Parts: sequence; C-alpha cells; structure tokens
Amino acid sequence: MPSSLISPSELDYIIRGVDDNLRADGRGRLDYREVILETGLISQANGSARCRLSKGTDVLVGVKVEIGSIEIDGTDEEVAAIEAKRGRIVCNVECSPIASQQFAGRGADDINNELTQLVDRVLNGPQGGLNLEKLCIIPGEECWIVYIDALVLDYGGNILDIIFTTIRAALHNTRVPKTVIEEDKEVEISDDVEEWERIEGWELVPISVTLNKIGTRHIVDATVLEELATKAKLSVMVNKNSKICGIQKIGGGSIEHSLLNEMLQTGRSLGQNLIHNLDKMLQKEEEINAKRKIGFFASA
Amino acid sequence: MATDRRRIQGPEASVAPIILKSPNKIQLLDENLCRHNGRNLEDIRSISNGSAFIELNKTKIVCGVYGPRQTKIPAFSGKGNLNCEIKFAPFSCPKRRPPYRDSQEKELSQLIYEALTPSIRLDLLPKSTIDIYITILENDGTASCLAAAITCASVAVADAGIEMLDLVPACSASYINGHIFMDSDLIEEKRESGSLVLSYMPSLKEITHILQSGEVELNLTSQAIEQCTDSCSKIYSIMIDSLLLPIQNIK
Amino acid sequence: MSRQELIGPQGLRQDGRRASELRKIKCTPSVLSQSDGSSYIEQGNTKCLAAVYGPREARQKAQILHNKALITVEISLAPFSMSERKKRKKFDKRLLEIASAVKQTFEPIIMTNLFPRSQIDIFLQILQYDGGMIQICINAATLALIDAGIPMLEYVCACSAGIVEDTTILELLGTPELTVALLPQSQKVTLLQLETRLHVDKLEPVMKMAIEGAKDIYKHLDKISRNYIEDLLQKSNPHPPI
Repeated sequence: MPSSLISPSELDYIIRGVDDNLRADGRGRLDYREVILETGLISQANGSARCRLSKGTDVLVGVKVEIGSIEIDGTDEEVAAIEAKRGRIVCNVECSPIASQQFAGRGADDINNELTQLVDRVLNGPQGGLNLEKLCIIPGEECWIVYIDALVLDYGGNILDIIFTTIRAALHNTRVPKTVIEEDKEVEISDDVEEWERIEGWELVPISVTLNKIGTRHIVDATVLEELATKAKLSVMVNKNSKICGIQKIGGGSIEHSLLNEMLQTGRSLGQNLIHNLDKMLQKEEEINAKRKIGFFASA
Repeated sequence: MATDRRRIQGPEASVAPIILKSPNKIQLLDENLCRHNGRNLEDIRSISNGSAFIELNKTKIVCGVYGPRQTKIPAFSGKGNLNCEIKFAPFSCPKRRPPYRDSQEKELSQLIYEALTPSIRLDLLPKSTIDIYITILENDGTASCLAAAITCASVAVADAGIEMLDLVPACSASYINGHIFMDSDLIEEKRESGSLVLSYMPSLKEITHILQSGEVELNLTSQAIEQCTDSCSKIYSIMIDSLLLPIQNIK
Repeated sequence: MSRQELIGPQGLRQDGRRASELRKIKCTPSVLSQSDGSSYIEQGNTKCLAAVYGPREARQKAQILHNKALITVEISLAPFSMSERKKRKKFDKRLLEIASAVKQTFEPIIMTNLFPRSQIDIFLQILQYDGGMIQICINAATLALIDAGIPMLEYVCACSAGIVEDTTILELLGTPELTVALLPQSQKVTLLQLETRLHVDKLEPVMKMAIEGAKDIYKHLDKISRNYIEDLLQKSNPHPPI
C-alpha cells in the first residue's frame, strides 16, 4: 500500500495553523465539516443511510435483518442463559477502492479488519444500545441477526466518525418484520410493511468523536492532509446519555497523561452536540422520506 | 514480450575473476574445544535476538524479537518497520483456536503495534524491519492478555538491544457493577460491563495506548486510568528487574 | 414468474416498460474527491459508481508495457446489493470474468499508445444490483474515463436485449441475454456476449434492438457530459455574461 506522503512545508503549515486555531479550510480546531445525510436509499436493505462530508468522506451503510439460529458459546451457564435470549449483530466495514487508490487490491485488508473489529466491539457490547433481547424470536433457537455493512465510497479523512454517524442513521431507518410463531415452531414473517417495527434502542447507539493530536493541540474531523500530520488519534465513543461507550487510541504516537483527560472531556461534550444535530437531521429526513424517493448523488 | 527483461546483457568477451585470497579453511573446533562461532560444544544457538516470557497467575505469554533486519521490498520511508504478530496457541482458550490467524488476532497485532511504536526509535533504523512474534500459551482474560502481551513484547525488544525511549508496561481493568477490578481474569471478564487496557511510558508520562469498551461515566474512566497508570509504574520496576537479572549473573 | 407473464395484454412489462423501452437512466459525472475521474450511474434499480485513476506510473515493475499503458479493472459488489445478504470475496470468479470483459472492451478504445510504461486503473463499485452487470459497468466506466480526461477514440455504450416468445425485448433482466458494447459513431461493436441459446434467425433482430438501445444510452451519456462541461466552463469563466 503506497501511503501518501506529506512534505515538510505542508506539515509545518498545518501545525502552525492548528496552533493559531485556523485550519486550511477556514475551520477552527473543534469545528466539523458540513454533513449531508440521506436515509432509505437501498430498496433491498431493511434500512440504509448515506453520509457525505462536504467534498470529502462518503459512507453508505446498509442494514439487513435475517433469521438465524442462536449460537451459545462457552461453558459458563450463567452467561449462556443470557445469550440464549438474545439476537446478534454482525458488523462489516469495507473500504472500496473507488474511495482512494491505497485501497486497491489487498491494500484495504488491514484497515477493513481494524474498523470492522472496532465497530463490532462497540455495537455488540453492553454499550451498543440496541435491545438485543427484543431481537430474539424463539429463546435458545431462533433470532434476528442484524447485518450492518458499511461501505466507504469516498475518502476525505475522518472515516470512523462518519461510519458511526451513518450506522446510527441507518439503524434509525431500519424496520424489522413482525413475526408470528406458529404451533409447530415455524416462524411466519408478516408481509405488511406497516407492521414492521423499528429496532428498539437505536437512540442509544453511540457515535464516535475522533480527536487528532497535531503538535501540542488536538483537532476534530481531520482532512486527509491533517491526518498525515497527526501524531496520535483518540476515538471517543459517546451515547445520548453522555456516557463514554469506548475509547481507543489509533495510530502510532503517544498522548500525554494530562492531554488525555482534556481530550476525553472535549470528545464527550462534542459528541453530545453531534448526537443532538444528528437526531434533528434524522427527524427531518423522516418527514421528507414520506414524500419523496430519489436516488443518491442526485442531491450531491 | 518474449524477451527476458531480467537478463543482464554482459560484454561479449569476459575474463574470469582472479581470486586473490584462498578462503580460510573453517576449523570446526579449536584447541580449547571452542566452536568457530564462539560457542562451546554444549551450547545451543541463541534463538532470537531478544525474547521474554511473562506469567500473570494463569496467563502465560512468550515473545520473540527478530531484527532489525533489512526490509525485503523497502517502500520509501525514513523510518524502520515494526511487524507484530500475535498468535493464540490452539490450546490456550477454553475453546480450541484454529492454527491460522483469525481477525481477532490480526486486530490484537495491530493494537500491540500501535502501543509499541511510540517507544521504539524507528527513526534510527531506516530500511529495516523488526519482527515481534507473540504466542499466548494460556489465556485468562483477553484484556489482561493484551496488556501482558504489550509488557512482554516491550521487555523482549529491550532484550534485543533495540534503542527505545522507554519500556512500555500495560495494565487492564474491568468495570463490574460500578467497581473497578484491576487485571481481571476470564471468569470476571465474562461478567464485566466494560474494560480498559492502558499502556504507559512511566518516565515520559505518556500514554502509548488506550482501549476502553463498555458504557462508563467519565469520572469512573478517569479513576480507572489513574489506577492503571499506578499499576503500570509497579510493573515497570518488575520489568527493569527482569532485564537486569541476567546481567547481574554475568558479573 | 412464468414466461407468459413477462409481457402483459397491453404490451407492457411488469415494471411498466414497453418491449423496446430502456430502464430509467440517471447519471452524474465527477462525484468523488480522491479519484482522477469518477461517475455514478443508475439504470433502473442497478446502481454503480466508477472511479478512474491514472494515467500514472505502473505500480508493479513486472507489469510495465513499453509501448502502451496498462489497464486494470476491478469490480466490487456491496454486501447489501442483492436481495440476500452475501459477503462476496473480493476476487470472486464471476466478478473477475466481468472485469476482464470490461478491460478487453476498453483496451482498443483508450489511446493507450500515448502513455507508455504507465497504468490506468478503473474501479467499479456496484451499490445495488438488479440485472445487467456488464452493461452498467461499461457505461459507468465510459463516463468516468471521460471525466478523467483520458483520450479515447469515442464513447463505448453497452446495452442488452433478449427474446421471449418471438418478441425481442430490450434489457430483459434476470434471464441470460445478449449484451452488445457499441461505438456509436463508427457503428462498430467492441463486445458481444451471449449467455444463452438463440436461434440464428433471431440473432439479427435481437442484436439490432440492443444496438438501438446502446444508441439511446449514448445520446443520454453525451448530453450529460456536455451539460457538465458547459457548466464547468461557465463556472470557470472569469467574466460571466451579465
């Protein structure tokens, strides 16, 4: 994978800009780019959303729900009893080669795996938000499996935050078919789309705020060049109740102890704003969606 | 394209090189029964450049460091490469692990790479590669395993004589019912509501890696970070002792 | 779906099209930020994104061609693109075959002799699939190559047709059909693929219909790219007419 390079003068320009709280595109250190959000674009999926940062990152998420059997692993009885009553979430993140030339061939394998594991850990843990017990159909036997597939279509920096935002929007858009269990334990799926229900707990699904340490300061929503100038990244996952749902340092480089606490504070408060804005956008989308159905890129 | 591109077209007339010095005949044993590479008859070769073993009650991890060696296909970079590979032994977990590398192992490798790079002076080793191979012999809690693997790998890198800024001790904690359980084992881990793994360079006071999962209040997180850095400092002294021990024996 | 029901009593198909009607096409050039050229195209419910990188230095030395540019094509299918979720391997055999067909279609059209020792990469991402993979790939790639400003002899437009009960049908989806890639100005065919049995007598009308379809697609693509360029010119004009 030929990673992009950055010249010393570009690097210097970015670091000084960050110091002066003025970045190349006119933003301050803690400003986000404008987000364009659309939901319900893919007819074959149960839910879908696409987010685009102005002239940059573009992520499409499709959510499909399918019936599968409950898997119980481990010998611990207490744990098994909980697992028997739960549905499952399967996450997959893929960086398409159309997004950036570095993802061509096998170039995206590492980043795909890293992002998939990260998203999977956040959404499948107790902090994931979704009520997994509601996804159970017959305890110990059958459940709904929620497949969340994220596809990175364009790369303009800060993919992780956009992936989480889009996943949250797609889950808001997802409808799970109603099921009726017949006497012989056959599961019947209702055809009536009106009866389909939203997944419980979507509003508690966390989003991520990635802070990039550049020089001695930190910024959010970095562009490609800013990411190259980044010493260390810290992703903070936050939910609506302003609880921290995950922290992860990404990339080489280290963070001073005092700066870490500051970054966590910033991440948490910014995350609150983001969720608030996202919820407003989703509400608007829902009103619009009732009226129109146009393809994506139509508005881009 | 039938021609062989790789063929070097030499001049038509060529002269055989003159051998100026006949190669020394290798003497397998000298008069003191010392082998040509300085080893005694009973000595086995030292296997890797640096290695370490760590045991935290049930968790057992070994690590070998090879290098720095020349990078095979060097990409343009002023820095050396660090290659981390972690492997769970097939018998290390309650369930058998298949011998090929799965996605969890790939991710853990990535995490260890990220935790160790800030400490190693890779800028001094352009065009070279350091390989770190970690094998988990017994797994007693994944989070504590990750922490132990980072600690172990850091000691092994130091043992290999590779220049570092500092050793990297790592520590894990679990959040269970609002309490912080330091270095939890497998049974505790199954019941946790969240976990934290932190690696820390004590003399620089810099955090090289942090990974937290679970829904936690910020205050509790800060508290856990404090506790983990404290334990890291304790682990740090054990790491130094273990590195000094073989040297003291030589004296 | 039985064959008889394909065309209703009014001569309309299930989706409301007439036998010789194309699916609705929507396309936009230049949608991505990182690539040299890109396009998005929608033909009915099949949606595809294309990105072109290059011409640039060939990545693998062993692949360098000394007299012309190397073209590579890679197709990926989104996991949610079909009605059943299926995670396809990146190097699925069927996708490789289609990629190689697309590559062979463009090799004689792109003026590769202008860029010796370099490489042009075409990446295609299917977002939603509802039949007609090769044709949408070719159409999307054409638009993306134009956007990238890569010299080509002319447009390549692909369309498919099939036959049911003596009626030739344009874009007969779901069943094997005849796909034609046409150079609309010189009226040459650069790809012809038939995946089914067809009586020799029927080949002529089916091909004719596919060619007609390809011409329609050409008109559409041409209009879109001309509009786009005009728009660009207007935007870059320092003295806009008042």
